[in-house]
Amino acid sequence: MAERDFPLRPSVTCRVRSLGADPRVAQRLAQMGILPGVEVTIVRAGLLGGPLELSLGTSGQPIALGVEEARALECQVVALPLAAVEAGTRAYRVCALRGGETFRLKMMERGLNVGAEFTVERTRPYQLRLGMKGEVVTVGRGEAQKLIVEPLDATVP
Amino acid sequence: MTEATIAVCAAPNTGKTTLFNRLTGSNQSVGNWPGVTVEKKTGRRRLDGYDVLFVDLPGVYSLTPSSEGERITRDYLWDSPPDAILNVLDAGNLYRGLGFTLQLAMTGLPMVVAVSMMDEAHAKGIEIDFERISEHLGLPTVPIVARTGEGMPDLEATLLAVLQGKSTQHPPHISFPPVLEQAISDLAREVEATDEQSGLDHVFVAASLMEDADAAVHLTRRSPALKRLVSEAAANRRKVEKRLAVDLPIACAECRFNAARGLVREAVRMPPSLSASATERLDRLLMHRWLGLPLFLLIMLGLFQAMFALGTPLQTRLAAGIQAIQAWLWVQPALGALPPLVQSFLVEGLLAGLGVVVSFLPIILLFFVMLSLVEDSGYMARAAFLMDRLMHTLRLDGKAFISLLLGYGCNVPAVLGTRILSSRHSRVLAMLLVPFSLCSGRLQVFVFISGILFAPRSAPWVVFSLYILSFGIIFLAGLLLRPFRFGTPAPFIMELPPYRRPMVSTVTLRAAQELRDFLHRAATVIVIGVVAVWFLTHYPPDVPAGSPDSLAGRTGLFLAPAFSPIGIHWAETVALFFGFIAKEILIGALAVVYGAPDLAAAIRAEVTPLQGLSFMVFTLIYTPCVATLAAIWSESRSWRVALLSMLLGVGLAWLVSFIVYQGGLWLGYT
Repeated sequence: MAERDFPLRPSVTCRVRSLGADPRVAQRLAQMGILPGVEVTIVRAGLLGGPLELSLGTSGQPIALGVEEARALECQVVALPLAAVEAGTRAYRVCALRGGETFRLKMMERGLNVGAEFTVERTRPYQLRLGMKGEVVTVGRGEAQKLIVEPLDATVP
Repeated sequence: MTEATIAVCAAPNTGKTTLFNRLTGSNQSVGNWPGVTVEKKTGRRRLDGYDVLFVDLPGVYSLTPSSEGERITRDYLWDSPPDAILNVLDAGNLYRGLGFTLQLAMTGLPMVVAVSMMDEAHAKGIEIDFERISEHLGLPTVPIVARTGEGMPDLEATLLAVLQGKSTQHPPHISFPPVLEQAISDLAREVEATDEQSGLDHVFVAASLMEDADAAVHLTRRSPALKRLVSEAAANRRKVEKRLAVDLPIACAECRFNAARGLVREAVRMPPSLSASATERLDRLLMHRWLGLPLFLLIMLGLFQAMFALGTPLQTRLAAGIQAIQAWLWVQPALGALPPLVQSFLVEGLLAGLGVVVSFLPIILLFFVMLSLVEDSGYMARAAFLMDRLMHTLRLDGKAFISLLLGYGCNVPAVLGTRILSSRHSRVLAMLLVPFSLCSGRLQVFVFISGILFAPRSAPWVVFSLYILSFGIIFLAGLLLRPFRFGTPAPFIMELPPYRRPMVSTVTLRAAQELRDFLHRAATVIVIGVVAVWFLTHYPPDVPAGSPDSLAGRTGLFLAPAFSPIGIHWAETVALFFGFIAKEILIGALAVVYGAPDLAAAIRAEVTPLQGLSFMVFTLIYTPCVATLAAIWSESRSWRVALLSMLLGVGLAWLVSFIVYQGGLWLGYT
């Protein structure tokens, strides 16, 4: 599974599609409750490609998983921080604002409420340019980390 | 008094051990499961007319084996079904353990479920409808708090009722996809007609025959009539897997978890939103991306410092005690009546061997106190998480770091501590690497020799560089051993349990058991090793101990050609024999062999600094001491691993010393 489809970074949530080719690993995962259809959220990632801490959707149970084992999973990304998104024609929708009141207000001023849809036009090391209903909105890297978005099936030409 | 057996069986971190301790108190014995090094704990308890043997099965997630623990649990339940199963669930997270509970309940064996940690669940505002759960599982459930003993009378009464057959149970039914359901029920009908001996539920036997290829072996052993269904089960499995496009064990696990989810939704009321728990807040600090590792190192160093600060004085005192006994024995007239060789055997062989065993006791006791503190608090899983990346380069799991680090204090508990590692591969590999860590015994030798041969300003740097060399050798040996597989490595999948305050009773019970275990398993081997070295250095009896004419001396002279390229004289070779007993007695042995009143002067006269350095390098690496080797043998249950450990040590030691000595000569040091 290519890393682009399943970015191994905190705040990414994905739905497990299949448990991968190694039956030993698959069985182990299944026993711990990581099953096809279950949503897992990456809580934290160890240094230099260290293991991941996942939170299991149904129970919030924290589970540590090696990177190799995680890569073997086939997943569909359900939500990810805006900072992990690459520029393109795919549309995204804001699904959570993980920040304080000030952050929330700042985002709302720019029309980035929960439910707002946009495309990512350009990514820079320090900021992202979003396209929203024909307008351009910029978001800082730090802010983009706290903005949780879900990819939509629709693409904007 | 009727004998009865109850197997205690649960997923990890559900409070199983606390409950087991609560039920059996200190009335426990520890052994091993046949053929493996997984611990087997049993305990006795009287329950109104029954003498109950409680068997603590390893904490596992399923009966479908993907680890040693699961294999043990499954084999135990199938080969010798207990009179009842006691399963434990964590009230705060029922869903997690319920998949396994359902699987156990489906066996049809008499069973009780204890729902533990009710206090924590109440504090979180979780409400559980026990009647509903009992009804669906088809067996009694009892809420308890194992820490305080709340609910225990109820649990005991329920267990008793189950043993007396007063409780009616029916295996739960969970729904499978239609094609699987059909296959299982068809097979179950045939099982019902043929299986008379397994004592397990027909549906469960049918499902097991399909799900688990090994099942046939065990089930047909007890119920040979099932043999004719084995090929049919395999055909059914292939058919179902093809239709569902998924491995059967995974499909079955999915069905169980689906049933568990439904049950939790029906019977458990959760508060709408759980605020960030204490565990989450603590993890933000302890598992921090950058601070996590330094904090871990600080915690470990603190614990080891405390351990050796407390343990070393005790060790010294015990050693002094043994010496006093030795001195006292020498002057006893009864001993004087014996031939000198027998005297020497008793005092310098047997008693010295016992002395070595005894001197390890405080450190081992303290180590296991420390280890259970780290384990019971929930921090062990975090430590494994934090260290995993680094250890992964050596194909070890993160927890191995704790063993390796501990080896710098003393190799023996470090080897015993490899028990925490999850796979045999990691355990054996860690055991082979631990002996290269510079333990306190070797440190004494290095401080002494470098103090004699090097200027006061450079001596500390010599010792320091030996530490660096020790790290390097661990890494080098790790890389050398990388291509080897000692059993299958386990995938890194691990739960992170919530932080909990360790219980004094659990910690002390554990430490006492480990101590007994060490005496039981390693003590004899240590004494034999010490006696063997005594024999080498004291035979034949008419020559002075360790002299050129003794067996050790002759071997030393015989080996001289092998040791001269690395700058080690025969006398030091003899001392190295003694060093096998314990590294710290190398100095004393050198004094015996040189037979000079001023050892420092003798060494200065005989040995150049470069030769001294080569000797120290060789001492660092050459072989684990007899106690470590005994621990390696008893932990790995394999002479081959112990032998490999010695050969690897001697081989690497010679090579590295050769490079040091010849390199030094070439650079012009003499």
